[in-house]
Amino acid sequence: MRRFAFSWLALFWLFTGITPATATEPAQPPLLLGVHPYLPVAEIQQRFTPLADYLGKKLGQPVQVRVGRDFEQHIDAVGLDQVDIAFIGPYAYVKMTARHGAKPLLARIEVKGKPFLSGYIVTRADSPLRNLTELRGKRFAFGDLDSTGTIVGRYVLQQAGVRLKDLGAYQYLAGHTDIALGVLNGDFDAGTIRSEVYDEQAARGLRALAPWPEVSEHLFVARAGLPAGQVKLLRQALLQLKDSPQGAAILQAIHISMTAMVPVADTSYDNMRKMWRVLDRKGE
Amino acid sequence: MSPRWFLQSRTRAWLSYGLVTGLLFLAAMGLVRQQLREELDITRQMAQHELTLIGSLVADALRRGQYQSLDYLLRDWAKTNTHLTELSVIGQNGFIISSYRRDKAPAEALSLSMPIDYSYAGRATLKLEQALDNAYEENAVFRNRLLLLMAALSGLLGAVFFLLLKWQEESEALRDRSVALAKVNAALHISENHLRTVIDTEPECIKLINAAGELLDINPAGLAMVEADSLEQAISRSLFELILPEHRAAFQDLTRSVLQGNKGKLVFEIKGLKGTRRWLEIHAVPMTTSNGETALLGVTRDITEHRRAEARLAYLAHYDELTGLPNRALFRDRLERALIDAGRHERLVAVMFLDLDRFKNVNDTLGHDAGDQLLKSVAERLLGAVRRGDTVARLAGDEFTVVLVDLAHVDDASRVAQKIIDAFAQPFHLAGHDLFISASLGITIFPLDARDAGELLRNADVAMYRAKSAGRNLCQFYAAEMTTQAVARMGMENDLRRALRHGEFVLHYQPIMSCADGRIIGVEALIRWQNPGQGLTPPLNSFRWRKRPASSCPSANGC
Repeated sequence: MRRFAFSWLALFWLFTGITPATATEPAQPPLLLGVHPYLPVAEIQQRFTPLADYLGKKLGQPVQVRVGRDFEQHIDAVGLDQVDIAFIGPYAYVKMTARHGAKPLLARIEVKGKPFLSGYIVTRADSPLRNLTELRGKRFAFGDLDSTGTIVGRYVLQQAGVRLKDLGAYQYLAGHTDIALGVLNGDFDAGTIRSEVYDEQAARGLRALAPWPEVSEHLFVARAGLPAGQVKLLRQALLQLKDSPQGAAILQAIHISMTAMVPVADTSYDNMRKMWRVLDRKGE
Repeated sequence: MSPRWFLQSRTRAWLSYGLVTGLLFLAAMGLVRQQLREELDITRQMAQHELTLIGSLVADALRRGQYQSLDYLLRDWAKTNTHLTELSVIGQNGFIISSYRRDKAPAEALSLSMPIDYSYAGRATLKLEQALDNAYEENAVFRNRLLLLMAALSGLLGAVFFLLLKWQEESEALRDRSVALAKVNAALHISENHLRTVIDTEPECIKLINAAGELLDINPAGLAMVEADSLEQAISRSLFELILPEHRAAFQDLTRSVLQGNKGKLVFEIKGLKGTRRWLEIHAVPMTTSNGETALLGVTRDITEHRRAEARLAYLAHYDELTGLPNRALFRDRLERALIDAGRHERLVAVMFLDLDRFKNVNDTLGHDAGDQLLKSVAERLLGAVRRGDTVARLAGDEFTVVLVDLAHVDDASRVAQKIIDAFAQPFHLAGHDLFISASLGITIFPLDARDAGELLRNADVAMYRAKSAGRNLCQFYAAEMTTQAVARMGMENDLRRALRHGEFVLHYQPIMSCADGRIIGVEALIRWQNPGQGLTPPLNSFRWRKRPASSCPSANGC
């Protein structure tokens, strides 16, 4: 009976052309690299794909970029370990850890040699505005409701004594470039933007009213369940990126002024936690 | 103006062609411009639609504050709509929110713009610039195709014009040729009519005979010659059969020779369809007929009358026209033949010379017609008096001769002479009168009197004179002394004429003396001939000559 069964199996192999020796191993599912939608999706895909490819080579496993629907969804996706690797802003990280707990930290980015996020409250160069208090009753542009820039901007305004309800009008826009363009176009009297956007657009007629306080830069975190070996590999790959042959190109693809990935600690974001708490306490 | 008018002059035709093609090209250029206008209109309309569409998208992005996305929007839009050369969104303060501009500036472009209201205060302008290259390129393609078509059409039209011109020229040439041909035909017709008239009225027979001897054509004179009532009748009969058998071989020879290319002439006799015999003279030449065969063209003359005239002349050469008797020539001929014949057969031939007595009186009193009538009657009576084979001839005037052949004795001649004398016994009825006419007859016998025809005739003449001087209505046989006397008389006559001419006669007066008293009572005038050869001829000789002795046979005893 056993011999008969073997014969049937042999016949099946014969007809299907599949032999035990040549049967392929099941393909490995790609690791997902989640990114918040601070730019149009295609742009983000384009900027992060070189990095994903780099990491995939290092891990021996493909890495795929996934852009979150919005900041909130991204926070939850990271928090709920729906992505394996995540690029996340300081405010989102703070919210995520508050909501879902700590994640293995990989690295934070360094722009122009500084691992801190900087920015400005800006207005048009020809605007009569000279200080933040004059923003009362004016139109103001923020970034995404859940973006770091928005929180920082609100914090700066709040510190200057200008609350949201003191503004004539305000609007949450999709990205910092939109804020800059909205201000330049005169649709808004002022807005809050990161320094690299300011650097890009200042020449077109922007003027900084006030700088942001120092905030630790964006960072990469890993999924909580990701094997320690892979986390280690990832962290190593990111930290070594600036020294790898294609490192500069990969870094600049994401941000033209990004210079390196550097080690990161959760305490670096306490400042951010403080701003959030202030605004939260004020009930804004 | 009919199309023919354009084609009458080559220059006019080509000018017309140039005008037509020029107008065609002008029309084509008009079409090209029209097409360009339409193309530009369509482009403008489409651009307007596009502008509106982009405008709505731009407004939407602006309302959301997605300024940056405009870059992508414009870039992506321009990427798929390659005719767009510029898309810009400009804020109301002049700030260029987003702008896409193609590197390569168009040669000609269409600019459109529209305002976009996107918020309570915001207002921007969407500017669109579109290259019109496509429209111009489309137009250029259209123009090239149209020009190509026009060129082909012009070529075709040119070919048609050329062919029409050729056709016109050829038809004109054909018409000219036709006119010339018609003229030639008319001339030919007239010429043929002339020829036909000549042939038809030609008194000579003109006929055409083929190699087989069949009659192809014949003119009316020819029909009359062969006594045919119609051409059909003439053609149905072989003319060869009309030729008398003795001429047929010669006629065949002539036909053969002419068909070989020679000219020929023949005199022959035919018997017409109605039985009349005619002498014909044909002059024949070869002629090529319309079907290329050689035929005989014959011009035939009726020479019957000519032949008759010839025969008449021949007759007149030998016969006396008045009496129908042989004349002197034939008489001499017959006489000589008779002499030869008689010499061969040792027979006698009598030659008679007859002269009417006082014939001159008849002519003078009754007229020449009566004289002629008398001569004819004499001839008839003489013929009635001689035998068959004998010859009665009229030599001249009232002189007749008779040759009696094949005589055995002189008496035979005497008998005939007597019959002749007897023939004059009856009166002749002339001009209402009965006249008794006598004749004097001289006879000589071959070979007794002479052997030569001329001598015999002279003898007979001499004998006839002897008979006449003996008293008329007599016959006188020739005797040798007659000749001597006749010769002497003839010599005397000649001498006397000469003597008269030379004044040889002299008058001698001889006195007549009276024997009684011895005195001259008269004178005798004597004409003396002073002959240079013989001296003064004595009167005796003269006397003798004048009183000729005669040996005559009285009519009563028949010599």
